[in-house]
Amino acid sequence: MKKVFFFVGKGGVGKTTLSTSLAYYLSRQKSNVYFASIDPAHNICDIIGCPPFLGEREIEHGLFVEEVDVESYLRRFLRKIIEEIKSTYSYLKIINLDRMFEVIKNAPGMEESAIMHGLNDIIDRHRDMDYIIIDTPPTGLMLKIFSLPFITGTWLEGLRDLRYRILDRRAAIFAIKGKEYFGKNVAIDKKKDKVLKEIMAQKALVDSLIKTFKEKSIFILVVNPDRLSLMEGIRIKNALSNINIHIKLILMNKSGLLPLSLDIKEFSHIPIKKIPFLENIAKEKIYQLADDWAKDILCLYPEMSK
Amino acid sequence: MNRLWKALYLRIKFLGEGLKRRSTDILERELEDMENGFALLTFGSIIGFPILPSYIGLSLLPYLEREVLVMLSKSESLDDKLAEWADLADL
Repeated sequence: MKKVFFFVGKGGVGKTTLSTSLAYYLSRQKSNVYFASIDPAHNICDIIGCPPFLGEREIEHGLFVEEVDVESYLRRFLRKIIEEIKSTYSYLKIINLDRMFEVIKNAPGMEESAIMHGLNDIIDRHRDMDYIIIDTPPTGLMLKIFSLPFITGTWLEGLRDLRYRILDRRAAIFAIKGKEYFGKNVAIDKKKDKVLKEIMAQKALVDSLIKTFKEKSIFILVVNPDRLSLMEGIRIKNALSNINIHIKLILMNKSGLLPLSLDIKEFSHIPIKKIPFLENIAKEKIYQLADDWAKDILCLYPEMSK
Repeated sequence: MNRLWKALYLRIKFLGEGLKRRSTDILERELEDMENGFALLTFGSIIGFPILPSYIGLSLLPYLEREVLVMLSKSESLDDKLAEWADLADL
């Protein structure tokens, strides 16, 4: 895998159109491209002009497309938890856990977590592709998804250290009082502690995502010339900078439709490409859209060119 | 003489056992507090600390039976902290 492209920006600025155009462009360069949307309200199929489908499909030679089913990740995660709980807490069998988890599924933060897991899974499954292109949800959800691995990583480090201290104390008591003190199901050994194992597994997942964001990813900000979209673009750039993710290219979509209505000196150190407004999103037009700027971004990273 | 040695041996043995039992009291209390803290951090969102991402708490929930029990027993004795400390200090 050479690079992962993330298209970010305010809702409706044209992220899906421009990410589709890059996907077409790269696949015409004889590269294998995996193009996915992690926006729960997908519209890749609307752009490429086909009925929605589940899973991944090769729509052109070397171009694989998927509208990621976020809810399926959530369902799989909760199913696994239910099974584990049923086996550990056997006395809870009288409670209808399935119904309880229907409520938990809609709890705050669960959707972002599911998208984060989904994102990690699709990147992991497509490491053999030349490029991965990800169309992201609008700003609010997108910022939560990208900051979640960093926040979670910090938490997991704290929990891991506390867990080590707990296991050290247990080992000290065990050495003096023997195994009767804790009973059968309490782990003493670090290698056998399932809690520590789960913490480490989650930590490995977030570390892998952070590594991909920092070392393998190119973040492309899509804006329109209108004031609101530009202001939100500035906020996105700053919020991502706070977690050490930097925008590498700005695509000013629908250029010419409106006069530029904001001073964009905030973007002075980032290359900006103007994309003309398309009256209709015919396939041929989308094909040509990336011709102008895709070459430039590949030139910025010569190791990416074949 | 033999009986005297035996009695002395038994006394020392019991004293040793007693010291052994007492020696872990503080460690046990410390461990319980840590386990209680771990459970509170993990399930904090349930009782109003909107901190740890919920999915982490959920993914650890199947393995935290002991910590949950410790947390529940600690919460039951929350109104009698003074007695707990007095017990620990052997007052």
